[in-house]
Amino acid sequence: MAIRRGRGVAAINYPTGMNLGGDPTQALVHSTPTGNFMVTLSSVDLGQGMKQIMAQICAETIGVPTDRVVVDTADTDTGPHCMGTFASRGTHRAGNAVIQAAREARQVMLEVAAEELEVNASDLETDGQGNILVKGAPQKSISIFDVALSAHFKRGRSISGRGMFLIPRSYPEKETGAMKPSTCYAHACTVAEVEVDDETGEVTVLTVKNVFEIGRALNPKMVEQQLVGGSWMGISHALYETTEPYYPNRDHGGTDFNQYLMPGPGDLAQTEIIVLERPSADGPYGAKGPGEMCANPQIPAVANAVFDAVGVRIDTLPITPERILRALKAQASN
Amino acid sequence: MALALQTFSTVKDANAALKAAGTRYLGGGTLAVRAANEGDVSVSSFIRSTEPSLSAITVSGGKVRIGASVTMAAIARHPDLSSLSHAAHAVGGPAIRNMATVGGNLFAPAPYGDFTVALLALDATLSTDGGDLPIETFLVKRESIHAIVTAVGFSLPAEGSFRFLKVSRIKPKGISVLSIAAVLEQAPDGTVSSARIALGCMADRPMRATATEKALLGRILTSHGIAPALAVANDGTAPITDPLASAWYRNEVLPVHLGRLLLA
Amino acid sequence: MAKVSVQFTLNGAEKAEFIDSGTTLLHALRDKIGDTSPKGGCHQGTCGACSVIIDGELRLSCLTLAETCSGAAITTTSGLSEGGVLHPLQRAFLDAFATQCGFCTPGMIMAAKVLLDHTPNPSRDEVVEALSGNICRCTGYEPIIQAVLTAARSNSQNAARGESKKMELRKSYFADQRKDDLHEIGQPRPRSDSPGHVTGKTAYFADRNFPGMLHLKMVRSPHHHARILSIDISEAEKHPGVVKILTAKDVPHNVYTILILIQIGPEDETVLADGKVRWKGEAVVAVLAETERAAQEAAAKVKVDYEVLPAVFDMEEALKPGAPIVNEYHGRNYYLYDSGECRKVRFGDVEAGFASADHVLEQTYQSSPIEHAPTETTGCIVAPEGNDRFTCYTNTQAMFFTLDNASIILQMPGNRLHFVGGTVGGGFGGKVDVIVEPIAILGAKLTGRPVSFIYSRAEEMQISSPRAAEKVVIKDGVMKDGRIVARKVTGYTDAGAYSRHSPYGAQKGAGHYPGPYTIPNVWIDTYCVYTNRTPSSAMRGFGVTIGDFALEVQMDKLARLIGMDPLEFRFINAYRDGDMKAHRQPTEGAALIECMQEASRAANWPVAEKFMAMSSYAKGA
Repeated sequence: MAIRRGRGVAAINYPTGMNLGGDPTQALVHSTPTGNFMVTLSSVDLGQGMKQIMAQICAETIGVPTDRVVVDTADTDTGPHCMGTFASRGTHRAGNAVIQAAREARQVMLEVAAEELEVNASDLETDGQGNILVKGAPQKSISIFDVALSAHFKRGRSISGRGMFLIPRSYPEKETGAMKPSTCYAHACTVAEVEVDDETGEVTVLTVKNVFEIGRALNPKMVEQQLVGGSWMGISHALYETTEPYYPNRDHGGTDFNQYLMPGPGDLAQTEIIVLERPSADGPYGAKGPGEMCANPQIPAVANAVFDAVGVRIDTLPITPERILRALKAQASN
Repeated sequence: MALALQTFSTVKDANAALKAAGTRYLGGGTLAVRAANEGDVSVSSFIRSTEPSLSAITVSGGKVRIGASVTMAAIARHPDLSSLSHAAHAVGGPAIRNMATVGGNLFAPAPYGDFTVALLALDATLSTDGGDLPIETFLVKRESIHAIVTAVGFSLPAEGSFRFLKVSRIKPKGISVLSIAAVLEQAPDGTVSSARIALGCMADRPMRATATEKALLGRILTSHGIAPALAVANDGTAPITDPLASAWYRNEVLPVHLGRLLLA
Repeated sequence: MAKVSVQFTLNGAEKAEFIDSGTTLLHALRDKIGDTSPKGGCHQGTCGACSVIIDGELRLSCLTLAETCSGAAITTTSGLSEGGVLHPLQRAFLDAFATQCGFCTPGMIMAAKVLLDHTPNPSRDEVVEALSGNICRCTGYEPIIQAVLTAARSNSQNAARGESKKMELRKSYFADQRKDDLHEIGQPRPRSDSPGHVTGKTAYFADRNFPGMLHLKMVRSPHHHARILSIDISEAEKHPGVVKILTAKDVPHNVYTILILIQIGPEDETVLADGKVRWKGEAVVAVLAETERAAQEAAAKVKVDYEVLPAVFDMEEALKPGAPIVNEYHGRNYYLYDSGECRKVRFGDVEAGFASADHVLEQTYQSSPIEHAPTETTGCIVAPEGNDRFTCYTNTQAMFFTLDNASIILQMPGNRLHFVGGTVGGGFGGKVDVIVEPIAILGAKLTGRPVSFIYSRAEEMQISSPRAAEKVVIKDGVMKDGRIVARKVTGYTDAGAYSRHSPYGAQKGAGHYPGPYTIPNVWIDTYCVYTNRTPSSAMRGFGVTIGDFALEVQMDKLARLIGMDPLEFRFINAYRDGDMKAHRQPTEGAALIECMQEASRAANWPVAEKFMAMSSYAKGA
């Protein structure tokens, strides 16, 4: 018996948003009478954290703390159109729509504040704590609470905004394929270290070191949770997962979590995540969509590490113990 | 027919109720309730008995009796059954072990039924109201047995003689690629004086590795000593193919894992 | 139906209920008592989302009959916080960012609580063991393990395998392009949805219960490809509890395709099979009944007479002349793009590139279908509002996309439809296919009753669209100095029997190849192929994931072929700002080189100094 060790690398990029564009998302933002802000969407939170991130984007743009923002999603009676949560588009598309809506609302808010303070709106700034200050004269200020009350009950203004983000659809040229698939790309490089049992074909992923470039980590803790979970799924795809283990034969497809294999809590690789931020030109505060990308580089990195360990190439996913063992036996008989 | 549960205080009454069509005995529910949830409409009545003896473990004079309703968790934590705790612990995660019973495990199709592999190696005897039967007899005809198995009995293996291995793809909990249970006794010179080895997933139900057992007799547990036994490890096997592994793979790795268990 | 009384304490409060005999504890808690913190993720005992504590022991409420719990003390996650103060475990899950979709969270917390009740200071291995019956699809488990260890105030001294470092932000890269003085952006604010997750209060679509709700079960094809000779629902209709049975003729616009909304046709799929089935598991007859059990029993009485037809499962076989035609709406076993049988990219002269190369390597890569496996299965509950409007509580990933497609299928104006969702127990691309909503709305319309249609775990695994199987053939010309001079990629996406999103996925692949490398001569063909299997569709990394596997294994092979370090080989070919891509867009915002530089450092995989000095900004170095 020999446990053999190997490592492999992979580097990838990933487009943000629906391929070829044409995938709009809208947002509405309005203030309540006491200066809290509602973001109204029909976008879906699958667990990636859409609600929280949209709140932070709205808060940053308006200039209030995040806990002053409530995100209302997803109801088609109230929320404007969103193409959906897929294609790494949620943060990028909805985020841009929220920024546009929040800017419009902020402008009204500053206009009302300007009337209250008897200055020009362009001379005002927010302190991020819920106040509007005169630039260079911060002692002259008004709270957003009071501005909202004024807007509602005194000045008859609606502190609100509409936002829309659309990347115009690109149509591929038939013969050459000239097209614009995406406006921005996230990046990654992963190094995986594995051990392979050369008598059983069993693979243990010891470490994965993932470097992700994601434009902007809007909330680093939430980025971390998505990237850690994605890295796990990548390893899972590499070594375990399929609904048709004997594809293209249709038999023996798993129907439960005992038969459909994914790494358990005792199978975890030591996982390292390093994040770089090169802001994208059209992303909300530079963000790109890392949600899908983060599960991709581990697959080839693990495949390459398996080769490095035992000298056989498994070019069919998943890289099961059975496939490795068959390859090792074929190698031995050659 | 809507589903219903009938509870009886005695095994006798439960056995009588089981004679009706559309009935199934309810143990821990991990197989029976699951089947109902998944749309098996052939069962309309669950039958169970609350007779206390079904839930009792007795160990005396080296003899063990485990009631059929005893759970894997209860076996795993029983101080007198520490040599078997590993095998009981191999079944499911914590919640499953709190529910899954010895009786249910006897009927579990591969790749389930790891504890029954242990019971086969231990040469257990099963009790029913109609009398006792050896586990091997039971396994051959378990589909046609309608009487409630009330208990399993066996002799406690000598210290260090029971070995158990479950090979799974997922850690720490996953269903079996295969499982192996062995009761090995060695003479003072280290040679194997008796061997009883059972395999899980190497057929549609637990099976004895009789050729391996024979080949181990008189051998010492070194890689050289066990080589003849490993060479016949696959004699008589007809492994299942399932989402975890093909029959081919199970046959290929059985000697590897058996070797590791024997040399451990 | 036999009613039985059951009495137990739930989170310390006495409960007494009359329930149907045979009711699981999960249903009793959720549907009768209204504690929806235990979740139904599988009803098989394989996911742990329904875990509760009964008399101090962890149990699966989906496999426990409620009537066996009389006299028991039952604890659920909703009962852990007292007076609004979170239990230490709940607090630790919040602080560790251990919840994403939150669907598995209540079960995880139950499993962890039992552990800590018996083992106040567990080792990492004990935590792992305690959580081993609970599936999480979002987090990769590590944050959950850390949360439990933190709650136990246990220092896991042994930095065992699996223990991971905190994420690091490397601010030194691209600092000149970034403003880092923002108030809210870049701040690790707590997730506003987590308190709901850890207390079991977050409302998923199935956490609603309506009086008189019907349950929909589907009769499915047992054959891969067959003609339907007859359907006999007469016995099933008479079955007690059955309210309505739907067949193809009941669906106003039965033949549809979801991408018609973005002008990608033809309509090629039936809501309920009409005349033919094209994959094993295809929906044929929908049964609506008072209970799940009645629907299952009636479904078993539906008689469908089939004439089995030859089926094709292999993409190569499907593309051969004379292969059985899978889908007559296409008339051929591949999707016809405006560019022909495949999406094409042509850049430079790939044959000249091969001719000039020092080495040419052609390799084939394959994959099998992959399941999204969210812990919450696909489903919806539809409630008639009494004003000819229908509210659909759904876990779709795309609200209006689903609403608009339902509107087409049902020939019902969109203003009659109201979709409520947005809180979903994991998606990963598996909930974008508009399968459950239209038929459930139709059922609600025709019966005037609320309708629940929720996939079983087996349906989620084998009926809902998987990630497509793919085959990728890559032929590369490479020079001894490491430059790739030509790359030809032929990609095949196994759509299964119907298009769904697959023509889009194959197209996306064409836009993605040849990967993040600058190659002067490129030829790409991507095919979307029909076979008699479960229709595939979108999944995390759609159109790219398998391609990246193929590309990056190919890169490894090429590097070894020319005796070069695999990482250095990638630096030589990495794209940089301004480089023209094969699809004729100049590269912008590249960062591959910097990722590789950082990986080189992090993994202690040294590369030549000239590569560490490179930049994505422009060619040079």
